[in-house]
Amino acid sequence: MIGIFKKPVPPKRQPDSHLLIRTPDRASELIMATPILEEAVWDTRWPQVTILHPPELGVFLEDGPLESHSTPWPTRRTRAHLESLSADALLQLGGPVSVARLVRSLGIGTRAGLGGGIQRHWFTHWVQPATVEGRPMAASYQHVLRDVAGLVGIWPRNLQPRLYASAQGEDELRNEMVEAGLEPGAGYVLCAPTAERGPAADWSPASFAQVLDQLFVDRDLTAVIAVDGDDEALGQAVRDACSHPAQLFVESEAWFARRKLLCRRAKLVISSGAAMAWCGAAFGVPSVALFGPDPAELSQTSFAPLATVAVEGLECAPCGSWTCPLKHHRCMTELTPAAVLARVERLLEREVPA
Amino acid sequence: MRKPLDPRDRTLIALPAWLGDFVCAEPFVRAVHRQRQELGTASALSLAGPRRFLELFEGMYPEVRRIPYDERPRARDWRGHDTALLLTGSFRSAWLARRAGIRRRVGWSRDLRGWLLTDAPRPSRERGAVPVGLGLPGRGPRYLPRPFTASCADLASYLGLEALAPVAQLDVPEDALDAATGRLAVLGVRLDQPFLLANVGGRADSAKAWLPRHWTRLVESLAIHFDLPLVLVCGPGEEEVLGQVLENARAQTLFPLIEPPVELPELAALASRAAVFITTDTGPRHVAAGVGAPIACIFGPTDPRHTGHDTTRTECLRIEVPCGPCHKERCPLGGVEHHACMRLLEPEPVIAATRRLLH
Repeated sequence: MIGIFKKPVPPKRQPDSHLLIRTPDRASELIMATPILEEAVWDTRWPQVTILHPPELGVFLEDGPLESHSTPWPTRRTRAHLESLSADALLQLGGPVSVARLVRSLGIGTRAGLGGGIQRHWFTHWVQPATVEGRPMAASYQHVLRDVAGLVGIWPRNLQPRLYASAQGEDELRNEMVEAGLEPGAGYVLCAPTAERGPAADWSPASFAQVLDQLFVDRDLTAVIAVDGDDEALGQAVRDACSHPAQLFVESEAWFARRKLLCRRAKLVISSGAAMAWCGAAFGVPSVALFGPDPAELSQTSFAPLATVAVEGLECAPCGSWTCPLKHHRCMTELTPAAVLARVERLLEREVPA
Repeated sequence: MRKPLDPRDRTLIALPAWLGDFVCAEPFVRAVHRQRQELGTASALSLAGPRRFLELFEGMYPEVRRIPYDERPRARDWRGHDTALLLTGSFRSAWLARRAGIRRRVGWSRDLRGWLLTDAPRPSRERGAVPVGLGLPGRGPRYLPRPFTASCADLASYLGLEALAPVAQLDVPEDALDAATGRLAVLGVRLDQPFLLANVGGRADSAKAWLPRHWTRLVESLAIHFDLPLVLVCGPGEEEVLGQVLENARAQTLFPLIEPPVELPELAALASRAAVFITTDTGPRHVAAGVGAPIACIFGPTDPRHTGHDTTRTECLRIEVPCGPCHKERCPLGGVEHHACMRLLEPEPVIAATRRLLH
């Protein structure tokens, strides 16, 4: 009982405070977190900031103010590596549950994060997320990340996501696109179909093609389809279904790096996952993300030209499943090209007035 | 779990009784209105709020019915609606909605009002030790301080509405612009020339109010540093502080609008044309943000997490004190600690912030 009434003691702060930030594991969530990360590296409260990210997502922190503060999360000898950083505080914006436990065992005094599950036992500060009928409320994940960052005194001026691209990378891509037959100044729509979120999140190639063809007719936008090596067949199916010219870019390595640059130069991004839509939106490119089994509400943002499309009124969605548990897959089959095009039109009207 | 709003429902939006929150709720109103407009059901929407504040929405949402009140809302005025969206945080508003026979009652569940609501999301809470640089030791688990706009955005998301704009967008009515032009013309200032606007308001005992002696020094320094007219305003009941500043300040370029104090639409009109608006963290700050004014804002006991959803055009000025941010209406401490958050914040950073905003 005594413990309940014990006053919490503010953590002791050293003048040479070093803050570790563990980024989220998903590309979309990492991009959402960029304004928070930038605020952290500018905040005089924390003279030293180290951003630990999943190795494959480092590309989103390159070429900007975050690059010099970023280092990949060590997959081997993790404990020794973290110990060598001799940090004073951890801000966990994502990553596995074990991070907070490991950091506590290293004696790092301030540990802040989202306390939705068991990890709250290892945090000194945590945010208990909003709930509806006892279940976590699906709302803007950007807001949640900002709430968590507030626990270590980091409060960004706004939540505008920001990515940067190097001039060299852009030149290389421009040359490559010219070789592929695209004029340097031509506007294109970047289509990023992916099976990354499982068969439940697949939208049919014919539907993608219908949207791309209509955008070619209405807005003179050439289709550029970008997929990674695993989704090559899907990309080819979309290209084959298009009745207007479409370019296919397949990347087996460093596909995030290439797609980041493709997003940067696009006039519009249409993606069946949140990652590429957030990437486009972070460059100020109007982006539309298609959602089926995943909750679209998590990608709600006021700060970027990002729109989400999902079938309304389905009792079973969002289920978050890899394959449809009811086998009807209605959350994607009932998502019509007309609905996507209507959303695109609304977004372009708002963001790019004629 | 999303429970979309039925656009055919007769919907009442109960707006907050605090000016800052009222203005911050505007993006939510706009999102509901836009949804209704697309379906031609905007006339089935009602806005309930303090009469003085509803004047800020003059000319906006023309089809929407207003239900103003002077002191307290009444249940009989709210009757005839199917859904109540309660952006207020009070128990009373939930009770009123229930007494008015409104079938669906949506609002954040806090202060024991959850059982009166049909849709009652429970807000986020902060737990564990005191946040670094914010908050006070000795306080237990509490609702997480969040910007009101973000809370509205999350509620909108739950109701299936599109993403809200990050800040309010208020229209400035023509008659308010004319009234402001007329009052300034009497003082010899033109509304189309650059000027600084300072809200020298705040009740004498309010913890959010800056000290009159600081205001005096600030207006004197502004007059020296910037070759711009300085228009001074205050809210109703705050004339005493402005009077003291005018009595003590030695500056030639001060133009007070004190008798009568400016009304909210007039304040919006003035702020929309001001080069920089200088204010404490009170309601007028949000009105100025709603018309796109660059703002130098003096923070006292307010937790910045409550009030900063988008501060792109705002310079937030605050100092860290051991007792703050306490978020109290009146400073409970005495002696040298009394009102330290405002007393120790000198005018110099405000002048520097004004300079940054001007350039």
